[in-house]
Amino acid sequence: MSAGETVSIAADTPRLEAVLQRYRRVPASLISVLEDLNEEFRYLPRPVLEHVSMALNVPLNQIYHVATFYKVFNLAPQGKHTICVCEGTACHVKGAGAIMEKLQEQLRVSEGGTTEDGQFTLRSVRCLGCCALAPAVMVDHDVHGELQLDETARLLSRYADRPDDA
Amino acid sequence: MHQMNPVNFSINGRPMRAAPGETVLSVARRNDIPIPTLCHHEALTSQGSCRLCVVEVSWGDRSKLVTSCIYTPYEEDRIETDTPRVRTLRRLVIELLLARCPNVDVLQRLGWEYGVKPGRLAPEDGRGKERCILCGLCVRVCDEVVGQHAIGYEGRGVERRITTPFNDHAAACIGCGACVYVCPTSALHYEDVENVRIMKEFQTRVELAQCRQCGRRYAPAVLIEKVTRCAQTKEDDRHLCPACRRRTFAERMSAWMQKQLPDARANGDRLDVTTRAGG
Repeated sequence: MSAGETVSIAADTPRLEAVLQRYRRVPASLISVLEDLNEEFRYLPRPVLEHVSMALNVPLNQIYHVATFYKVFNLAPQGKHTICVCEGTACHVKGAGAIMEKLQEQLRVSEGGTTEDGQFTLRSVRCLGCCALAPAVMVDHDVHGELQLDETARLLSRYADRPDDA
Repeated sequence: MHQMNPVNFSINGRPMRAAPGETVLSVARRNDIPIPTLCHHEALTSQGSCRLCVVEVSWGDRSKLVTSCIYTPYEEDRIETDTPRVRTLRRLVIELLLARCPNVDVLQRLGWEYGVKPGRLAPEDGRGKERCILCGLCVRVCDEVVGQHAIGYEGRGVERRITTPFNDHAAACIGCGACVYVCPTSALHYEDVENVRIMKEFQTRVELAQCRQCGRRYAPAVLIEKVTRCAQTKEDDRHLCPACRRRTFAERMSAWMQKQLPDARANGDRLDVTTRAGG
């Protein structure tokens, strides 16, 4: 699924139902459900949240509250890969700012944005918890530590070049 | 919740008795001991978000500050509502709220009362239009009393605000105005323009129903529908504006009185008030 594509609730009901079944539609499992759906769809489409509201019997205002409170949840379509530039103290000192600027330049997006081809979403995070590897960048679930400024292009190509298996 | 029995404790040296589960604020209010609050309403669940109701609780030789609207006292707690420590924290809370909402009169009055000097925390960008202190009373009244769940929070920290899901017009809003009524800082508004009620902050537009007698647009049609479903009011009364409702009631009452009076005179001037009024 590419970034611009909107989720048709009818077509995705099986994926949605699978997640809801996993948590047996317990209202208290809202956050876990949203986490799994965020992973499944790479963002939380409005029709999906509306369906979750009905299925878990949790009012939409509360779901919207939770979905906008936690940074892991996205309400807008994300790129195929998410790049998180760590801007915690150690990474900041080791030049995270320059890496962020370089990536913005190479991807032609601003912080928080998604590239036109839907390949990458660029975000900053406060601390990845691996300060010894500063400056660190996380792409999807892989951490790339001690990243040099001239390595960013190669890093991007490693992900962008992968055949689209979605 | 931790107590099944009444609790004996003291507020400002006066012995007090709290019912099981009763908060310090509730006991204080019963006994006319003033504690300022902004996010508290007795019809709604307390959440201790404005921090203005802090009091100092001492036990043994220790003490701490607690929010009295959610604190249920323990046996032998000594509560003080106006110590220097309490005033210092309240002053800071008010100072922070005033920095966010400088033009809210409730806050200005509290600031004057607690001796807040303006300027230290003034926002640089000259905002001053902000009136919402994020106390959440509007969200709670919509959830707990009205049951529409039309509005809620968005975001966190400095970005947090009250809005409708997805910032869309609130499909669930019935324009009842409970949020406007309960808001302590007049941050919310509604306006009736011709045949619609507009909730400015939530971009809701609901149609106003007409009074069946005078034709005045008096309340949102969806609100009347909801009342019809939930409350047991007289069918005729629901479709009348407040003025016509009062008048028809007075008419019914007067007709009933007319009917009763001759009988009453016959019975020695005593009205039989046990008879149902007007049906």
